[in-house]
Amino acid sequence: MKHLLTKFRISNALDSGRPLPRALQEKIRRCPELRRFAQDAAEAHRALRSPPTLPPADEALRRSIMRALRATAAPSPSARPSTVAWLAPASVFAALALACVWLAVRRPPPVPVPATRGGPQTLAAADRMLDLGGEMSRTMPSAVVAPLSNELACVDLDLRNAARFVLATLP
Amino acid sequence: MTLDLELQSVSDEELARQSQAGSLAAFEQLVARFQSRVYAFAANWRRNDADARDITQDTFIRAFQAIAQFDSRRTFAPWLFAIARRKCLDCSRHQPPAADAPPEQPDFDDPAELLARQEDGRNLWRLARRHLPHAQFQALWLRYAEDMRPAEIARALGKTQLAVRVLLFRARQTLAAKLDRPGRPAAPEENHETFIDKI
Repeated sequence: MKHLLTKFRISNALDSGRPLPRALQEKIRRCPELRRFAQDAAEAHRALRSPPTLPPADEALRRSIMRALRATAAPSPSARPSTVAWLAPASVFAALALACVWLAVRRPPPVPVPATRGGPQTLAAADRMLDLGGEMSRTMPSAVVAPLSNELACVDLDLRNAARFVLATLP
Repeated sequence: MTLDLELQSVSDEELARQSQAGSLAAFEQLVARFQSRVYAFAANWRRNDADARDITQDTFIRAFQAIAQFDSRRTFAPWLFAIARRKCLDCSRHQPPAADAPPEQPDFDDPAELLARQEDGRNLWRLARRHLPHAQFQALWLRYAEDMRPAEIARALGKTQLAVRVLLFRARQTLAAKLDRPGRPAAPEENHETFIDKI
């Protein structure tokens, strides 16, 4: 970890071909560790620059590649994939834009939401809930209500609780 | 098949342009120029002759199919090696490393002395292949064997230039540590101008 940045700069200098700044050269001169790294890196750089021995061109492989290339369709200059690549996102974008316009046209007018807590609208809603509970028990025939009386009683209780909650929220 | 003599003096990028226009002869010239280089790149990755040959063939087929996408204002080699790298990755994903891979060369008793004797750097490459992770070795290979600049290596490896510089630095650090056997004296102060000046 020590001198990491300086070593990185030495390594960079090998790639850029630019000489190290004077101050950095002085620092390397003073530090044995940096001196050793610079020496090893420079030796490796020199050794690696001599081209590695490549395998001789394999005629059979080349023939095999060319056979495969002839079997595939020749690249057509007119049908450039870049055009196709441009068309695909453009068509998706156009479809999305159309969908947005269609949704905007078809959207029903927004339901008015009470702007403030409480007020006459909240009271009316609570009133409607209470009425609904009472009406259900009154209007439904007894034959229908009898087996469901417990459930209806629970529903009625829930509605009353809800109404109480709504009324409690009033300022 | 004899390669067109006229095409032999044409630049890689011009050959790619002609290939884009539909010239198979131009592409064949590119195959002739890069076949061994792509094979060596793949062989360093897979360490198996059959895989390296398959990757080489697949790379050129893909390059031929996608030649229209090549930006001829840029250099051709990084574009081709980017395809080769993807083919190597595909191959590694589908097949685990081959069991019949050629045996590794034995480690050297004294890499520093060996390096001093070997001017061609072949043994240093072997050392690098043995000790460096894939990404670092590829960056080092493209830097020296293909003589690419960090910007071109970045294109070939799909990384940023900074990432490539870090890979090269780490590779050099590892190689330096391998060359730097314990007890080896640091470069004498009176001689250090020589190697610092080389940097």
